Parts: sequence; C-alpha cells; structure tokens
Amino acid sequence: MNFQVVYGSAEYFSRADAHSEKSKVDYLRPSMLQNIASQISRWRKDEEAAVVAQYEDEAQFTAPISHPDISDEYFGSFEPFFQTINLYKACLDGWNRDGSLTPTSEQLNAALLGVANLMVLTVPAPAPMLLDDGTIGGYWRLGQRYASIDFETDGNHTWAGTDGQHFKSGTWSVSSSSIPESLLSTLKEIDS
Amino acid sequence: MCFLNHDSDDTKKRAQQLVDKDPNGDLQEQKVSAFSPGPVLNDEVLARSVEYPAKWASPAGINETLFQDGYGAGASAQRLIGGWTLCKESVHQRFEKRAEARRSGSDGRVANLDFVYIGAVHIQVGALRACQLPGDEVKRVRVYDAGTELEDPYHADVILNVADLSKAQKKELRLRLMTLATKDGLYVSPFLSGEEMERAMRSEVKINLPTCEQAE
Repeated sequence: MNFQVVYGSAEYFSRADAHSEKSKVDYLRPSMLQNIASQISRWRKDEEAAVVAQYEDEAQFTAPISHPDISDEYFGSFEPFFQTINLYKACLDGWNRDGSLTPTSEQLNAALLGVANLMVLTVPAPAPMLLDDGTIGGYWRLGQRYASIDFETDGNHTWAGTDGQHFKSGTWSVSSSSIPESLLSTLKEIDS
Repeated sequence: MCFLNHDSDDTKKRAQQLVDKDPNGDLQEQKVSAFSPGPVLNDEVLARSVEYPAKWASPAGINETLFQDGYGAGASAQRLIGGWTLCKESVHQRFEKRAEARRSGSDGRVANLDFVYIGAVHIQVGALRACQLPGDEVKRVRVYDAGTELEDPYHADVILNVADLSKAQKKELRLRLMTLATKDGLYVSPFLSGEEMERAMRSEVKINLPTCEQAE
C-alpha cells in the first residue's frame, strides 16, 4: 500500500484546520534547519509507526513507506537558504530602495513553513529571494528553466514557472491542497 | 514640473502615479529634457543592472525581482544608444558607481556592505512593451525617456501598470520580463573580484565575459 501525507501536525507543518495557528518554536534559535529536519524525521517515524500499528493485527503486515529516507545531505543542501533568510532578519527597512521592508516574523515563519512542506516532497533546495514588501521567496533555475514561490503569510503562496518559452503561474494554498501538480512538475523538470 | 516626478504628498507609488497621469501611455512619446536623445524607440536596447543580493543568488543566478521596481519607484535602465560596444564602459562604470554608493550609503539610503554589481542584462524595448499576459488586452509595460539630468541623459524608466492584476499575474509578468531580459545572458561586470567572477561563471545564467564579448 502507499500512503502520502504532505501536511502533518508537526510544528512546522500546517494543518488543514489551523494553518495560522501560532507556532511555539523559537525561530531565533540558531539552527532552524536542524529543527525542521528533526521534526520531519520524527514526524515520518510517527507516521510509519502509525501505519505499522494499524496493520499489526493483519499477519504482522508492515506497510512500505512510499517515500525514501531523506538523507542528511538533502537537508544540508538547504543550509544556504536558511543562512540567507537568517541574514534577512538583520536587514533594515530601505535595504533595497526607499520603501523596501524588512521581513516580519510572520513573513519569516511563512517561508519556514513553506520550505518545510517542500522538504517533505524532497523538492531540491531553492535559492533565496527577498521582495520589497518583506515577503521571502525561493527560486530554482536551470538555464532558461525557472520556477519560484513567494511564501505569503496567509499560506496562499504565489508561484510561477517557465521552460523559457511557456509560462505557468498560480497559487499554492498550503492549508487546503497539496502542491499543484504543474508546480511540482516544473520543479522536477528543473531538478532533472 | 515633469510628469515623471513623484508626488510625495500622494501615498501611491510612483509607478501608479505615472499610470494615473498617463492612462494610455502616450507620454512615452515625450522627450523629457534638452539633453535627452528623445523618446525611447522600440528598436532600442536597454541595459539593466543586476546586483547581489537583491536580484542574484549563487549558483541559481538572476531572479525575477529584476523588474519588481517597475511597479514601485520604476525600474531604471540605461539606453544603449550606438550599441553595447560603444556604451559598455560607461554603463558598467555607472552601475558600479551606483553599487559603491549603495555599499557606503552615500546615496542617502541604508548602507548595504554586501551590495555587489554583478553585471548587466540587455532588453529590446519593443519586446518589453509587447510583453503581455495571456488573454489580457492591457498594455502593461511602459518605457519612458527619463533623461532629466545632464549627467544621466540616457536614463530610461520601465513602469508596470499592474494595479488590477492578481498576485499570481503580477508574478508571471515579472517572470516574463526577467525571461526576456536574460535571453542574451549576463554581461558580467569587469569590476568583479576573481572569486565573484568564478561564482558568476558557475551560475545557471549564460555568461558574457567582459573580455570575450562579440562586437555588435
């Protein structure tokens, strides 16, 4: 059997019913990435345990896990992204031009939540991007192939992608749907 | 008072003020000073500065914030009158000087020590003005002559008319413009250090090295 849960109830993952719930995580701690990585591992272990438990009565059936283990190297590839968004916190208003805003803690949390959800899908690490209104984004590029996501505080992340000729865009609503197939396929193409 | 001037008493951003003053974009036909070469023509090419950290990250390269100023204060560009070969030295110098001012804060803004001028991208004006979203009849991109200062006569401003667009549409427009602008690749700054140059070389953007550029 296969199972796939994209949005768990661990701290960094949005629940369908409470994506705006206030986080108890202290994001100012130095290792946000480690925090997310260990939560993903714990969460996945819990999911696995739950599935195994569910099938204990059925001739000790062990459910295979549909996604492979996430390696330390994979988590490590996000280090530059996390380092950079940590630096964003130190920006002053006007960092780019008059009117450029420093990311708020809500904007920072939105980026962490969005990236954590991407990690569960083993999407490659994005490059960081900061918009003038303080919104943090991530982008991927392979030659003229390009995709990016703006991590919005309301959980409705705006995305756009191109292969250099054709363009796609939309909204990924983290609280109500899994990642749009067209966004995921664009990201996988860039990773191929 | 020139129509390009920002009215600081109005809370609207400069781009929106301009769109309000010039709903059909007719003022793109206007020469704004005695020393400007005149309205920006469709067959002209513009150079836009690419800087770290705002518009560039290694190794991915340029991102689509390249034109986000277009719906704020306006995206500044230099008109390459006479072609890149003729203009490249002065354009690189101008962009580097601006980066230097950003690093030191001597431009009156918050000093950003990390600010690096990476290079310039080229955009054909006709293609910029023709850039539209699917199913959208409105001309979203304007290119104005902005050579109002004697020491900056080839200045052009790219202004985006996006007030009625959704966030996703605005993002797609930015992406379309960035894609247009990166087609020819990045014309790397001759002021980069060896390490910065290496980083640029490793990026996912086509690179035109200062020493290898073909004459136009």
